[in-house]
Amino acid sequence: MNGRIVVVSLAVLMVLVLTAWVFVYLKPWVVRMVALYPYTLSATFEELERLFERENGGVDLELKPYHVREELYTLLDEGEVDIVIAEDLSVMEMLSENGYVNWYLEFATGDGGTAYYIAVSRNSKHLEQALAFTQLLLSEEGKDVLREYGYEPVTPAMGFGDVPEELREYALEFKSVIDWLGRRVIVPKPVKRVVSIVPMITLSILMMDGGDLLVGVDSVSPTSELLTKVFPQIKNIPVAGAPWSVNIELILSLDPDVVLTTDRPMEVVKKFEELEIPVVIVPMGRLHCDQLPEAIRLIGKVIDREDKAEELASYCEEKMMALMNVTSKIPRSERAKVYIAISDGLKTHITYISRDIVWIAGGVNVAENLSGPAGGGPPMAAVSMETVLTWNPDVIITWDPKVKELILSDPRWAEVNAVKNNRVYVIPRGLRSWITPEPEAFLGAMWLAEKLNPDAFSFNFEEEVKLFYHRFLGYELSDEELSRILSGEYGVEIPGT
Amino acid sequence: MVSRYQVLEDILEEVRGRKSLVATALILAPILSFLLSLLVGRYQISPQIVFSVLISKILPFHYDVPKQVEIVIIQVRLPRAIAAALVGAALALSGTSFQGLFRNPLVSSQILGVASGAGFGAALALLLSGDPVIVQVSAFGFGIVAVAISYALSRTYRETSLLTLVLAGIVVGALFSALISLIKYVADPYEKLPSITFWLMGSLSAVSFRELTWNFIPIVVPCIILVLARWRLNVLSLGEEEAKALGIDVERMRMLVISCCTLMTAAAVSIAGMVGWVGLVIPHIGRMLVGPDHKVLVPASIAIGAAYLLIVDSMVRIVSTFEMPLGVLTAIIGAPFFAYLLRKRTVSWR
Repeated sequence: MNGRIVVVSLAVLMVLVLTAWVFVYLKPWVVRMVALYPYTLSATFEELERLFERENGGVDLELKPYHVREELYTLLDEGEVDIVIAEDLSVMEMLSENGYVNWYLEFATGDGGTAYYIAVSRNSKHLEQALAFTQLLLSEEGKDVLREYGYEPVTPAMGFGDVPEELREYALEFKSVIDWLGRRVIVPKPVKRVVSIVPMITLSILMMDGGDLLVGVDSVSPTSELLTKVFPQIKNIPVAGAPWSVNIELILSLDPDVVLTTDRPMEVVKKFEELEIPVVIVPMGRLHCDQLPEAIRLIGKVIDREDKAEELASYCEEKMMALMNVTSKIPRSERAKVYIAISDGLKTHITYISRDIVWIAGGVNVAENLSGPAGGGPPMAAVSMETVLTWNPDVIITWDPKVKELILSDPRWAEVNAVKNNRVYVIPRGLRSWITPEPEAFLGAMWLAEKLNPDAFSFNFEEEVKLFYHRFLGYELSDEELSRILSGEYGVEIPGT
Repeated sequence: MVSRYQVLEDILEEVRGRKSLVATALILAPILSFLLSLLVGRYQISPQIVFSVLISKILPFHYDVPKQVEIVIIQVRLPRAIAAALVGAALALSGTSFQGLFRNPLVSSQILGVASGAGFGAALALLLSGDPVIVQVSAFGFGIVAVAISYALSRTYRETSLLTLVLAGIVVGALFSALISLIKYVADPYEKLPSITFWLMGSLSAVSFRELTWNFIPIVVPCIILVLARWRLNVLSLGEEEAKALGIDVERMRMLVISCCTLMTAAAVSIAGMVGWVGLVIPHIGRMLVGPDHKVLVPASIAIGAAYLLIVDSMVRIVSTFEMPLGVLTAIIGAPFFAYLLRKRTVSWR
C-alpha cells in the first residue's frame, strides 16, 4: 500500500520536475534561432544578441561561433541554422551556389579591409525573426554597436542576390561578376551607366540591345560609317578614349556603374581600381573564335542583358558548328592556303581570330606560325615578298579594296596562285571588318567558307546577313547597303571631320 | 746609314699602301654586299641560278627558270638591293654634308626635321587613304615642307645663322613628331595604327621598281652635285669667315647643300621609312678610315653607307619569317659597332 503511494508520488514528482525543466529550459513558446558567426566577432554579437532579445521578447538567439570555414560548413550540415555571418565574399558565394542562401549583404568592414556579410538561410523556419535581426544589424542602433567595437558599417549595405523586400530600404543591390582574368568585380544591379573603351565590346553591347546603357564609348566606333547609321545616337555619346589613351577625368565625370576594357595596358586598369570605378576586363583582341561566345555572355551578364547575350552567343556557336561540321572533315593538305594582306600587302593579320576563322571556313592561314598578339605585339606582322612567294597562297583576302588593286597590278604578285586563279577577295566590312573579334566575325567565317568551298555550302548568305542585322541590331539593311558591306567599301570616317 | 729622308720615305710608302688598301676595300665593299644581298632571302634559290638569271638579262642568251624564281630575283631582290644601296648612300652622304656644313659631329641627315616631316606625311596618308603611292608622295612632300619651314624660320635679314638653323630644325622636328603622335592617337588601333608603327620603324620589304623609278632622280642627281662640289664642303667646314675670305658665296652654297641633302633624305625616307643611325654613324666611320678631307670623305661615305644598309637589309631578310624593322636593326648593329670604334680611336669631325 505504502509502496504504491511512494511510486505514484515519485512519478508525479518526476512529471513535475520534467514539466518545470521544460518550462524553465526548453521554453516551447520561445522561438529559438541559431546564428553562425566568426569567433572574432564574439563581443559584438553578444552585445547585439542582448539588444535583440530585449526588443524581441520570446526570441532566443543562440550564437555559435566558428573558427575556420570548414567548421562553418559542418555546422551548416549538422543542424538548423537561421543566420550566417561570414568574413569573406567567397564563403557567401559558395553558400549561395550550394543553395544554402539566396542573398547576402555586406554590412561592415573591419581592419585591413575585411568585409563582413550576413545572410539568412533559405531553409530558416524563423524567417521573420531572422529578418528582424538583420534589420536590427542594419539599423542605426546596430551600426552604433558595430562602431563601438571598431567596425565601420557599410551604409547603405551592399546587397547581392534576391534581397528580400524588408531589407531593400537598408541596402543597394549589387552583383558580383567574375571577369575574363578571374577578377571578381562588384557591379551595381541593375547596371545603368556603362562605359566601353574597346570597339569590339561596344559593338557587342549594341548587338545585345544595350546601346541605351552606354554613357561613354571608345574613340573608334563613332567613326564607322555603317555603325552611325545603325545606331545614330552613338554620335551623342561622349568619347572616353581607348585602352591606352583613356580620358580618366571624363570617365569619372560620366559616373559609370562599370567600365569595360581590355587588360592592356594593365596600368589603366589599376588606375580605375584606385579610383574605385568597377572595371571588367574582356580582352576581345586576343580571343580565340570559340571564346568569343563566352565573352559575349560575360558582357551580357555585366550589363544585365543575359537573354539577348545568350541569343547572340548561341547564334555564333550554331554558325560555327554548322561550318565545322563540313570543314572539319577537310584534311590539312587539301585546305586552301589563305593569306591575309593588309596595308601595302606585305603586312598580315596575326590575331587568333583571323587564324581561327580561316580554319573554320575550311582553309589554313599561311601565317599561322607567326607570333601573335599573345606575345604582346601589334596584331600585325610584316613579311617579305619572298616569304609570300614561298607560301604561294591559293586565296588572298584583304580588308581594303585598294590593297586588292595593288596586288593585281604589281608584277611581283603575278605568279602567286591566288592572283593567277583570280582568287583575291576583299573582306566584307559591316560595323567593322568581318575578321576582327566581334560577333560579325562569324558572318565573316561564313563568307570565307563560301569563297573557299563554293560547292560545300548552300546557305543563302545575303539573307543571313540581313537576318543578322534585323535580329541583333533591329536594323533593316537595304540591298544597296548589303552590297556595300559585301564589297568591303564601307569606310571609316576620320575623327574630327 | 739610313738617311732621315729614307725614314720619311718609308712612312709615306706605308701611308700610301694603307690608303690604296682602304680605297680598294671601299670600292669592293658595296659591290660585294650588293651581290650578297641578291643571294639571300626566304625563297630558296641557289647562287648559280641567281647569277645565271641576272647574266641572261644582260647578255643575249636564254636561261630557263620557273617564272616565280625569275620574279623573286628580278622583281623582288634586285629592286630591294638597289633601294638599300641608294637609301644607305643618300643618308650617309647627307649626314656627311650636314656635319661638314654645320661643323658639328652630332648632326645627322635628319637635323632639319626632314624625317619627322616625312613620317608625319606618311602617317597622315596611311590614316586617310592607305594607298602606298599616296603614302610615298605625301612622305616626300612633307619631308621637304618640314625643311622649308626650318629654313624659313632661320632666315633673318637675308642671312642664315647656323645656330638658328639647327634650333629651327629641332623645333620643326618636335612639332612634326607631336603631330605623328596625334595621328597615332586617333588611328584605329586594330587596323591603321600597326601600319603606321611599322612604317615609322622603317622597312624595304615593299620596294618595287615603280617606287625606285620615282625616287631615283631625287637621290642620284643631288648625289652627283654633292660629289662634284665636295671640295666646297671643305671650305665651308673651315667656318663662315674663312669661306668668305676664300671667295665662296656661303649663303648660296649652304642653300645648295641643304636642298641636295633634303631631296635625298626625303626620297630615302619615303622609300624606306625612318632608318636611324646611318646618317650619324657612317660619316664618323668614313672619317676614321680616310680622314676629314671631303674630297675623299664624300665618296667614302657613299660607299660605306650603301654597303652598310645592304648588309643590314640582308640580315633583316634572313633573321626570321616575319620582317624585323630595318630601323631597329640599323641601330642594334650600328650602336655597338660605333661604340667599339669610339673606344679604339677618338672621333672628331675635322
